[in-house]
Amino acid sequence: MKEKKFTFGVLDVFLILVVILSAAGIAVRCVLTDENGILARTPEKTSAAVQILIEGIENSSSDYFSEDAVFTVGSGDDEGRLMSVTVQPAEYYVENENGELEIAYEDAENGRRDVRCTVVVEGYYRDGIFMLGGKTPMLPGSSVPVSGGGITVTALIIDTAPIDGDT
Amino acid sequence: MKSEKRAFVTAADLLIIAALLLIGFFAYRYVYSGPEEESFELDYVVKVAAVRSELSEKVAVGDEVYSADGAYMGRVTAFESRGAVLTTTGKTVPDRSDLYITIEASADGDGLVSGYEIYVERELSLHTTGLSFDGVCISVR
Repeated sequence: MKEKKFTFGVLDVFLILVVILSAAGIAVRCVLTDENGILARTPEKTSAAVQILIEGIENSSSDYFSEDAVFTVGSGDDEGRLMSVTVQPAEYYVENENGELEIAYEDAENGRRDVRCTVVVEGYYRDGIFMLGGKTPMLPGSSVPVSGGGITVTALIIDTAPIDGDT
Repeated sequence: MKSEKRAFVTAADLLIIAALLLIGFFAYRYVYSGPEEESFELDYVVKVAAVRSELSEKVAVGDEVYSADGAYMGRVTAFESRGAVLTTTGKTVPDRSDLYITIEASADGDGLVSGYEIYVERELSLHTTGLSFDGVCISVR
């Protein structure tokens, strides 16, 4: 009986290439890329001091905010520690006798409060923007939820500065 | 007697045919895609109303501007901060500024900037590395 001789042809090479390229494609897609499909880099984790402003909360609610209190910042589970908390009567606008708008302040005893504080959080700098937990951009002008101890408020980000000195 | 060789199609043949068809398709697209439409420079002004004054200094000429989904929307070429004025009454609002940010961008042949159609009264959510802002386009040229 004539023995069938195995020959390694162009087709075999082609098929092997297809299999290798497919495996490489899967590896790149699943292992080396981030959630946006971009080749992931591993930047250095760093801390940032984020200055936030919480406007017009109830007088009693301002008691929740004190130095060293820990709050969840953003919609994930990233935590931050409060520093330099300043509580002031909330600002609002009134018209003066000339019909011009002026800044006025709520009653110092019982009126609403504006809380300005700095929260220290961890994340990564990506393209010059601090990303809380690597995901949420902490940009001045944007708002972020702050919650903990039974209170949740929306805070306006005023400034973000690196603590470790590198961006 | 010489045995008759039968022609049959294997999976490998189908794979090769599919690959050739794909190559042909992309070659056709490449050859007959027609002349590329030329891109052109576009200047548009975004008005950001009643920003806290302490935030109004966070934008600077030369800043790169991105949309909320990260698309490149151009570069700031001019920036002006004016006292915020209530459109309903014309009264000036203390400690608030209206920002007028002029952005230069490259639009494709369809006039789109990174897929965004830019037109007057279009509301835009944009950011630089220093400020996130929601504004309305008030001028395109």
